[in-house]
Amino acid sequence: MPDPRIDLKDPRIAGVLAWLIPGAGHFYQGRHFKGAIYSSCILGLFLTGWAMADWSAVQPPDLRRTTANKTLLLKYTAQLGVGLPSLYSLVQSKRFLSPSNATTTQLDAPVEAEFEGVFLEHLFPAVGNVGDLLQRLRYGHEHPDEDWPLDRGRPAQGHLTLKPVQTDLGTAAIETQFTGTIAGEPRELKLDYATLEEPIRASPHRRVFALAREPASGQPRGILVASIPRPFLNRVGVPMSPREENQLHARHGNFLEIWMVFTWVAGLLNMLAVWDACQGPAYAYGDEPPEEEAPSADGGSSTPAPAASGAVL
Amino acid sequence: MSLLTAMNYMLYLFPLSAVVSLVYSATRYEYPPKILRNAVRLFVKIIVFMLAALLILAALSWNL
Repeated sequence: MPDPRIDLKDPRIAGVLAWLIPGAGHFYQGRHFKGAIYSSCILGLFLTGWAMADWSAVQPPDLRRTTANKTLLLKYTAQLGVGLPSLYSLVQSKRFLSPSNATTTQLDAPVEAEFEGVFLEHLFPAVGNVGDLLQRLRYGHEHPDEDWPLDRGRPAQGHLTLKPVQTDLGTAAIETQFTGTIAGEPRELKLDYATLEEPIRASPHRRVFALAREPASGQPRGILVASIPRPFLNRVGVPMSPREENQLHARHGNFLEIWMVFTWVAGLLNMLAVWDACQGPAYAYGDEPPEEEAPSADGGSSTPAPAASGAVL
Repeated sequence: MSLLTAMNYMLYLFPLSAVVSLVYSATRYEYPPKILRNAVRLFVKIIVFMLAALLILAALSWNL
């Protein structure tokens, strides 16, 4: 039975709020000091771990085979203590597995972005069919262990403009313009057959593959593989491929474990906070006077014991 | 792993212990001064315990 001075309001609502956002349930109950402690400590710890791991610390299990990876399931169970971000990662997992999340040659809205990438100039003359080459590059991106030529390209960087257009046949396509440098030399190229990687992926970069032509003559010059920034909400909480996971480990080393521990501990601590929102504090209010000590065996005591009437017979 | 790298890892123990102490104490009591006093006490206990464990492990692995 909680202390009558504590107003728990509706404990069920408070519990759900506390689970979704640490501290929210206590703010709802008017327990602002505790709300501030829980939100700053638990949410702070969770977000620190998540952000330090490049927003990849929260990984939902594969929705198609939930129990296939038991370690991942255990990690996610601990993170599930902080409700909202964990639930969002489930939504992301569903978006990631959706059939509409595929490489595309169509755009809904224009994209303008700075990019870094590689230009495969020397490769083009050896390949007759541009579509085949793009297909090979995309395959190579997905299968890094197999032979693929990106590491033989020249570094390119600059500004990329992608616009949705209708072709002569009435189908949607992407019109692309590149302005920037290739191996340090300024270049301007018109890009055709632009293909974009899936919109939802754990990587902060989205790859664009395109055939580069001279703007004036239309002469093919090579293949540009560029990386443009991916919107934050399209990459956070998305399941990682083994390759992306390896890259994450390579970037952070053993520190990745520390960031993961932060998110797990935050999730587990929030379970205590949810309990507190539903039931009140576990021991007492905390301002009660200290209990008097019982007399010790030798009769001595720091505080005198109350005299018992009629104790002498 | 060098000692300096190991020390780097251990620095993260301090904020983690502080958070655990504060949240744990907050779930035990409602009175803010009592929560803070308890949290400080628990934080010191955790650090002392971890340091003791570190010293024991360092002694056991001496010259290995």
